[in-house]
Amino acid sequence: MFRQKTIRKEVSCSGIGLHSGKEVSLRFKPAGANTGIIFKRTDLKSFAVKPLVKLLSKTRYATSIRRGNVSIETVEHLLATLHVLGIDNLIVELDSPEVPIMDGSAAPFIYLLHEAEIKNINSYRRVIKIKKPIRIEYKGKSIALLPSARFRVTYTIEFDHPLIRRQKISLPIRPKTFADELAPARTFGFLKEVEKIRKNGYAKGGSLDNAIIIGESTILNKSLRFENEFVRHKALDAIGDISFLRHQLIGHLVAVKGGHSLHIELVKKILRERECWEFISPPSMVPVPALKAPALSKEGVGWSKA
Amino acid sequence: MLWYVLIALLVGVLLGRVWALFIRPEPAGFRREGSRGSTNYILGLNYLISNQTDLAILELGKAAKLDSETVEVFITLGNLFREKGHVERAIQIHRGVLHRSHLSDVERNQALLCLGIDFKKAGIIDRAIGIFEELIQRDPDSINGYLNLAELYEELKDWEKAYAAHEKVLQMGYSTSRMALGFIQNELGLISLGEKDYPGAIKRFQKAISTDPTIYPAYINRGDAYLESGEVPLAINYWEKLIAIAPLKSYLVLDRLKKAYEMVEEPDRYEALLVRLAGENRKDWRVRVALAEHDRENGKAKKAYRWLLEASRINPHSLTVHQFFWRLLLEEGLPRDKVEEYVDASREMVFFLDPYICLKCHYKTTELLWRCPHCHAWNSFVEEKL
Repeated sequence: MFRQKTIRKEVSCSGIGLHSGKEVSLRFKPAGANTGIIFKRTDLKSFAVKPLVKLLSKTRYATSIRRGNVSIETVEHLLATLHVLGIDNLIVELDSPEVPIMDGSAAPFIYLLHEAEIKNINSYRRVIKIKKPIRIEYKGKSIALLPSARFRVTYTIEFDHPLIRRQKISLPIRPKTFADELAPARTFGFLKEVEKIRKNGYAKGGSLDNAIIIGESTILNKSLRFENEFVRHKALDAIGDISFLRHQLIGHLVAVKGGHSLHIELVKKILRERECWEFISPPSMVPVPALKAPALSKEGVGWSKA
Repeated sequence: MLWYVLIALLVGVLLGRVWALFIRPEPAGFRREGSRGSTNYILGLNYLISNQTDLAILELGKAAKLDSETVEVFITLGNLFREKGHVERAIQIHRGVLHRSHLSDVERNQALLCLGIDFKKAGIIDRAIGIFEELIQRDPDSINGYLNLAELYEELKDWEKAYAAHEKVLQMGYSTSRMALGFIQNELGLISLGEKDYPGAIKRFQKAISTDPTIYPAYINRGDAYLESGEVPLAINYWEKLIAIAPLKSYLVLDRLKKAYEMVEEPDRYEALLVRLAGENRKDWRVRVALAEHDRENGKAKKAYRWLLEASRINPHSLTVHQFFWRLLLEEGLPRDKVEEYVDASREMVFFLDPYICLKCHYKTTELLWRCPHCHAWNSFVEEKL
């Protein structure tokens, strides 16, 4: 649990950008201890952008980060996968502002990262353990992080739509449960909204190959991968957004009718409320004394030097 | 003595292996023996037919364990994992089949096709293209290989390569690619038009029309290219040609024709055209809306009302007609008799916003699209009738 990880070898592929509709080249490269996750734009002299809270830009339809004028969009499915697989250090090269949408889920990223062979690094990470509940409620929506023995997600969605209504999922998040139960769940959208988004110049690469499209009374895709695929995808998105903590987490994430904005608000609140959590370090899971913890900044907490 | 027994045993095993590898007759297609006779296999197929994918995976998985030699069970299992979004397992299974040393050509090609589809469905575009190209090298008659490649190139808007792939499919006798070829020529023409290469664009649009005369946007775009290059009579000619072959699509070029007739100083042709079209097509509500607009512009509000009422009777669901009605009523100071006439006519009307629907995937849109943004079908939109 405490060994930092990266990948053994480079892996690359190309996919489609959800908004641009253009081909995007993606390459994963190993990175040394305490490097963190770094996105690099190869079309802009390898300009680097880190997934930091202070760099988050718009969070309505997807999670994006922006440094200066350089954006990396639709990062949440990849970040969720890296978080659950425990990959701390990685260079992600892109020749476009978007992470390719793949099939709208996280499953292709699991395949690619396994192909790259995940390996331990001889350096340790610290893990955030929740001590006291942290909660946000907003207009009937809520999200909380509660103390727990392991990382767990409980997610509930409610849509006034006959094909969704109320769906709930609760499960411990480990690489296998993630790969089997959450990663294949695809992103979804309502037909009415899709046309609006398209008319605004977005989602040019969106299709039934990478999204579930919900009509008035039917789903346009052939079938669903899970009966409650929608809530599974929301849980996947939440993990991607929570990964902006930049640390593994021991706590129970409970969300009701959440979304990208609420997930990110929770991350910000966790970073502010330092008394609600502690760092756990190897080898004896002894809490790190508060005095030795790094000073907090808006961009999150620093990496362990252990 | 023991040595003799051991040597005899070893020779027996070796001979058996040699027979299995080199002498046993291999059918041309899939092997028919093995787990195909098992209960799990039969159950798996039954679940597959009744669309119970999870149970089908369970039973076929058991069948595969019973006999790891039967290729088709593994191929099917991989396909089912792909359907469920388990990309990695699908790819592993299909790769596993390809690593077997004694596959027939049919089996190898089938496994390659499935692996290519795994990558394609996972959105890993470059690898999917690589696999389909390998399949075509091995089997130059692989229609599925070419069709999948064509779809991927269309997705990437690499129209030249998509065209080449569809051309191959057409050469193999599958006429379904003809329409795609026409639409791709039209796309290439639009690129030339964007680059102000008018002769190049006109050539492309002409090729689109000669490939398939029902590529309607090619007539519109060819007219646009002529207009841009200053040849207004030719532009009129191509827009009128569209009306001649597809009168109900006339609304797509009416505005263009109106301006073009003015440019050649023959504005009366527009009204004559509209009246003729209204007379010829009793169901064409859009021509009636155009006539109403024309009459309104010429100060003939009473005639405009009449055309709008006719249009609303033909298609009471069109919001455009109602919006126009209210615009006209407001402009005329809400004359009571006209308002009452409209209210009477609209009592049984139902409104809807998305008149076009894709016949293939039911995607709805407010504007006529020539290619569905969701299922990628060409020319699949029709006007929805409630």
